[in-house]
Amino acid sequence: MTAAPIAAYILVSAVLFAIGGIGVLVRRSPLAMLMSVEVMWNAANLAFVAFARQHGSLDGHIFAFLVITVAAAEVAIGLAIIVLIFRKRATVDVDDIRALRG
Amino acid sequence: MSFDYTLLLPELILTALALVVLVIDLSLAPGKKQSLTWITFAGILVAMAGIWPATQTSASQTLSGMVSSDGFSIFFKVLFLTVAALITLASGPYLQQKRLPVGEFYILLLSATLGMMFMSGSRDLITIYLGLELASITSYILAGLLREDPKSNEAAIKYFLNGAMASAVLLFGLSLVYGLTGETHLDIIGKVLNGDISHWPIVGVALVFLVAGFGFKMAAAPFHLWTPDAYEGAPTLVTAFFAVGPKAGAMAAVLRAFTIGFAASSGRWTELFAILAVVSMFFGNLTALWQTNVKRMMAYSSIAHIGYLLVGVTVATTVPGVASVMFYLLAYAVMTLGAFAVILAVDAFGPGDQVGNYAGLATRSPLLAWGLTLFFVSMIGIPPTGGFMGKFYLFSAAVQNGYVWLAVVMAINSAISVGYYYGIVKEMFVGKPLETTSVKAPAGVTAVVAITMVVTLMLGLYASPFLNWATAAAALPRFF
Repeated sequence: MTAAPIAAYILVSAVLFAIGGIGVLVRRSPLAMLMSVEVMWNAANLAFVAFARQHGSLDGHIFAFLVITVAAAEVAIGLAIIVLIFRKRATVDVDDIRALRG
Repeated sequence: MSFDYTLLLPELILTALALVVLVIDLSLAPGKKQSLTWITFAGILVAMAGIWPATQTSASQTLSGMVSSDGFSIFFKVLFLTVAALITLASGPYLQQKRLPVGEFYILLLSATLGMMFMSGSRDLITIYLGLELASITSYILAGLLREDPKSNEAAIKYFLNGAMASAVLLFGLSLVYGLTGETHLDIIGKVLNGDISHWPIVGVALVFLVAGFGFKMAAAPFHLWTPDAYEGAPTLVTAFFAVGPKAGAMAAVLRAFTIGFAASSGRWTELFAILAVVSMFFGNLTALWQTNVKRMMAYSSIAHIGYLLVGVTVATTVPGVASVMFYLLAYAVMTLGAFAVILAVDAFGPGDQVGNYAGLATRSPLLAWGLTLFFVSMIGIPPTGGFMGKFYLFSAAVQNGYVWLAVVMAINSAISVGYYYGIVKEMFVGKPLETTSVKAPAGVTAVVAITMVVTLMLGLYASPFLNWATAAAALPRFF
């Protein structure tokens, strides 16, 4: 079994990153935006792990683990904020959240 | 391999302090938590004293070289701890009045400070990223601390979504750097990238990602979209912290990461930062002219100040460039905290946070009015204030390195900024007050105003010891 070349992994990673980025810009629900950001983080993770394999060093694996941990913390905070808003207004469309303008 | 924990003493004390506050907070009855303010304040002073042993040892790196405790990081640790101490000093009555969770506020403030201290000391991409996330995640919660206020909720969700996306962008940039060099340590990245590889297009792509990621954290235009909303919606005390802390942290990380890791590609990133500087200065100053909410106006003003600082980052390949950024950060931190102490007093203990609320403040509370005037004079860059000396050093560093046009843009922008600062000063001294009673600022807030007034004048009149300190600190982290 031959491994795919590094370029293939990076291509997938870049595509994932772009999908996530477009998702954040296009979707209007904070939940969907959060999921899109998660896709972007994991695109970076994929690149880290692929590069770590390429270089034969552990740093990339460690970095990917830390990113997963941080992402869990970040999602916990994000969901808490979304729940807080949802309790008040029973809608979480970002276009409706616009008390602050200018 | 060295694990010299004396070098991490301030960080360890701060961590212990956060845990102590957490436990004591649980044991105190609601409404009886005033003692936490003084425990936190005293703890921060102890952490500041903990910097002393690090200055006495010859070793400067710890945790296998991932974190260094050199003059550069000591400068920033002193800055961050001072900011945290001043915020704590002003916090007690404000937290009570707004019914904010006291223990949570201090724990989050201390954690954010801890994250920023790691950002300034890191020599490794992993620790830079972790420090940045620690500071960011706690900031999202701080922005939404007024749980019952829809504006605060909105500030939190906007800050969070923008911040999370910026983290992803930064992370992708870091993964590209790791892929290019196979290393996460800045010194080794600098050595690997020092050669033909620094001309590869992919290095440019990675740099764009990193500049965008850090640009968001320091709120440079065009990555500033979250800033006005987060500043206006967050509790004023938290806004004061946002205006100084995370920006200085991101600036410290940028100075170290780019001058060490990307020294060989400096031609590329200095161009990027020059563009950000010009856009930030013009956008911040011109938009601030239209604002009627003072917190929002200060948000745009802070974007403009990041523009001035980025002029220094553009010439950060030289020691005077780095030193001028550090000196200006010091002056900026002091005058901004002072201005926000006044804004906090007028907002929470006076009429409100609109420009019209400042009418006749000079007759109602002369100290606050004169204090705010001094801070605005300093922000415009008029002598004899710290802001003037800071801008002067940035200006001369830019001119010395052939960026005359950037210095000219900076001077033009300082002139534009007079417009909106003057609006408030005029309101304070000429406007007719609706009430005649003085604004009842708590003693802690008044103390912060007085301290920052003295330091702002000191930085203007006796600038050389501070500049020498910044210059000595700026010379240390580089290896080229």
